[in-house]
Parts: sequence; C-alpha cells; structure tokens
Amino acid sequence: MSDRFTLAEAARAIAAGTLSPVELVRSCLERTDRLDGRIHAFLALDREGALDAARRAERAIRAQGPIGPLHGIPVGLKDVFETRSLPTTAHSRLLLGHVASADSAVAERLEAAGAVLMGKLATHEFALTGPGFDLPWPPARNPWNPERFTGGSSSGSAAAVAAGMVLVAVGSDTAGSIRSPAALCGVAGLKPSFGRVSRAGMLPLAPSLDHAGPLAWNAEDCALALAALEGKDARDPASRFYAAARAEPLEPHAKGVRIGVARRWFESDRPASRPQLDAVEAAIGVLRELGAELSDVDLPPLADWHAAGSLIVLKEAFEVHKDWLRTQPELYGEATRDRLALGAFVSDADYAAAMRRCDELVAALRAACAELDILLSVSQPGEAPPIEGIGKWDGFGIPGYSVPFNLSGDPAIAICCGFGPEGLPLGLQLAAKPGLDEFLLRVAAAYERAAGWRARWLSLI
Amino acid sequence: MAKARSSKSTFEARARAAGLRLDVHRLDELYGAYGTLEAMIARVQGPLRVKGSLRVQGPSRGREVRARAREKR
Repeated sequence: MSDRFTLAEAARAIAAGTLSPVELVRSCLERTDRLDGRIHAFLALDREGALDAARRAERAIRAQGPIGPLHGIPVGLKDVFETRSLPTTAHSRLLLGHVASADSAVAERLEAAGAVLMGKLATHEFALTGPGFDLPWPPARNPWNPERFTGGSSSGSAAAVAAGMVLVAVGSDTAGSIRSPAALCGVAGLKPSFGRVSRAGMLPLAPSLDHAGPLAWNAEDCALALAALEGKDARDPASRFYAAARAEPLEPHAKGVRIGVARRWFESDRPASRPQLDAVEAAIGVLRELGAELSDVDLPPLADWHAAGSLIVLKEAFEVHKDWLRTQPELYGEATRDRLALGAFVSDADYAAAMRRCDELVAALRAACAELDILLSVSQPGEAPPIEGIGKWDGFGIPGYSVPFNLSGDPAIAICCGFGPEGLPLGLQLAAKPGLDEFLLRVAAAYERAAGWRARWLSLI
Repeated sequence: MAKARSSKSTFEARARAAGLRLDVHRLDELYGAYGTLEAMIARVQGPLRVKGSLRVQGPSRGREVRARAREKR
C-alpha cells in the first residue's frame, strides 16, 4: 500500500474496500507523531476522537457503503472554526480554553459527510499578520523545509496537507490566507466564490472579505471537498445559492478556455523571482498545449487593490476586536495588537472611500475580463522565505497578488507549478467569474494532470 | 498635490481618543506604520488609473522586453 493518498484515491480505495478508514487515520496519526514536533501544524490533535470516528465510519461503510467521497477521510480545521469537541483559540492567548457551544457550519458539513476530524490547526493569530513567536503555540513551519515560512494565515492547514497529516483541511481567506500557504507549501488551496461556503461559527476577521475554503493535495480533491462544504446557510448573511458542485471526480478540461495573464501584477507591480517567472511561462506553455487561448490583460495596479483591501480589513477587524484591544491588549501577540490598532485610524469616510474604490476596481476587472474565462497570475513572488526573517510589518505596505479576488468575490485557486532552485514549491493562481468554481477547478485539474508536478510527493524528513 | 503627513503628536492624540494604550518604547515604529496607512488612505481617495484593455498577442511581452534589454547589454 502506498504511504500517501490523494482524497480522490483514498475515497476510491475506501469505496472498493481496499483501504480501511481506521488504517488511514492511524497512518496520518503516525505521520503526525513523527513530524509535528518540528512542523507544529496542530494546536489540538484529537487522537481518540479521530480513531472513534474512523471506526464508526468503517462500520457504516461496511454496512451501507460510503455516503460520499469524504466518508472516513481524515480532515483538519484551521483553529478559527468553532467546534464543540475541541477548543477554538485562533492561536491566541485571548481564547485559551474557549470551547464553543455549537459546531461551525463547516464542522457540521464535514461531520455530515462522514469526514474524520483529526484536530485543530495552527493559524496566524486571529488570521491576521504573520508568524508570531510570542503566542501560546509556536508558528507552523513549512514541511518542505522547516526553516522556511508556510505562508498564512492558514499556515497549519497547508502544512498538515503537505505533510500528509490530513488529506483535506479547511482554512479561511480574507486577503489570500488560503492561497498564500497553499502556494508556499506546494498544495492546492481554493478560495471559493464569496458566500459559497458558510462562515457561520467561523471567527471573523473582516466579514466583507472573509471566505472559507478547502486545502488539499490537488484541484480534484478541492472539488470533492467543496461539494461537501458548500450550500446556502441562513446563519451567514453573505451565504448565497450557487448551482451545487459535483461530488464525483472532475473531468479536467482546458481546450478553448480563454485565459488572461495578469502579467503586470507579477512582472512590474510586484516583480516575482526569476524562477517564479520561468515557472509561470512554463505553465502558460502547458495550458497553450492543452488548447487554451492565452492573452495578456491589463488590470488596475496591485497597489490600488492592496490599499482598498487593507483599509477594509483594518477597519472591520478593529470593529471586531476593539473592546479587547482597549481592555486586554497585552493578551495579543505584539504584531496582531499593533496591526489591529491601526484600524482605529481608519475613519468612516476612509472606509467609505475604500469601499467605493473596491467597486471601481471590480468594475474595471469585469470590463477587462469580459472576453475571458480565467485570469492567471501568481499568489506568491517565489519560494518560501526563511521563517525567522519574516518581519512584523512585512506585507503591510507591499501589495499581495491574492486580495483582488477577495474584493471581487471571484473563485481563485493556488496550485503548484513547479519547484525553485532551493527545492521549494512555486505556485500559480487561477481565478474565474463568480459561481464558476467547478469550471475553475476543471481548468486547474487539467493543468495539474498535464504538468505532472502532483506526482512529486514530499519525501519526509 | 499629496496631502502632508500627520505629525507624531496628532497620531498620539488620535490613539488616545480611540482608547488605545500605545507602547511608548515603540512609538517611532508605530508612527512609521501609521505613515503607510495614511499613504493607503490617500491612494483610495485619489483617482484610479485604469486601462482595463485586453491585449491579445502571441509570445509574452515581458519576455520580449527582457530579451531586448539583454541584446542591448
């Protein structure tokens, strides 16, 4: 038996009776025991709960067959999703020991799909800023090289999937927090269309831009996870109805797809590294060979997206945290406290200007992409940097590539498009129009299948 | 014309008015971040320069530009 499975492979093997959910969970626990002392992906590992759930799944599958592809599959949750069975801390001293009275919508849906919750995963504190060394737990580290940064804020989610501790994790993404760690840890991370996955019971950062979505080994696995996670939910005011994603494997497809390359973003607005640029050019070549039609597209500068997004995040996050900031500021890590405090200086008029700018930017995006199906860019400028070198203000003044799709609400995915000279993953970002998540995943899966990078598992440590 | 940057005393006064306790040992650092924030605010208040045009072409323009630069060197 192979040591590693994608979700799709594991689901097929479980359905065929050749893989036991209990053995699969034991294998993930063994890997976690062996590696997590260095990776720090988990804040809470529910060993007994996971084994009990796996035994229940195994009995049910033997009796009636699997209820879907997630039945018996080990999954993890970023520690911003509330759970009754485990504490939900957002990696913060402020919430030490906090146990929610109800499960988040995401936890409910995973349970209904028969998934096995392994535990809660590291995050940047309250899904903001970068790795903190003054928090109750150490920051997660990149399994490809533990001296390197995971990206964030869904740091433990990406690390756990990359290391094979879980087959799927669910993260949150307000300005790239699923896609950034997915890119740096060499996995696939989907930010679905805004409102597609309910955020009920998810600790908020900036409700106008918060999304929940899956991280997994590849786009096909993200599609299977999305089918289990999505659905309208009256408890989340942003929740919207979209045509349901399919719960069976995707048919990869890129022929005739019109792809715009947002070249300006990664060549001049924030120049990516030479290896990253080469990897993008190679990916463009692969997509062209698959029959896609590639063209360059001019979009508003990243700095405009970054300014509008940052002001919205800071203002909304301050509104969420202002009481704690005023009464218990010492309980935050320094970076989180300082970043949140800046929200106090964003006036209502500034916030309104940022929202107007957001509308203008999205209108410009829609006009530029009227004749396109997919936008191609990057989600990181290169390989993962050393974690010790990440400064607390890094990324504050420097525009990221991800936030445009938080402002637009478009589905966007980060996938692996190769490896750099230091042997670390490089990522590609693809985005589609709202509601076309499944179409986006088909194109991403077609690229992954043709490029072949997904055959390169992390050889662990 | 670019708006003049707020003074450090204005920054401190706004922080007090918001009920925040600033770390006096790191005021310069926080004031520096406040400057970045003010630049973002100025950016969303200024005009948006958008071309938004679709340019269909063959090979990468960036590659061509870099190739020309290499030839010049």
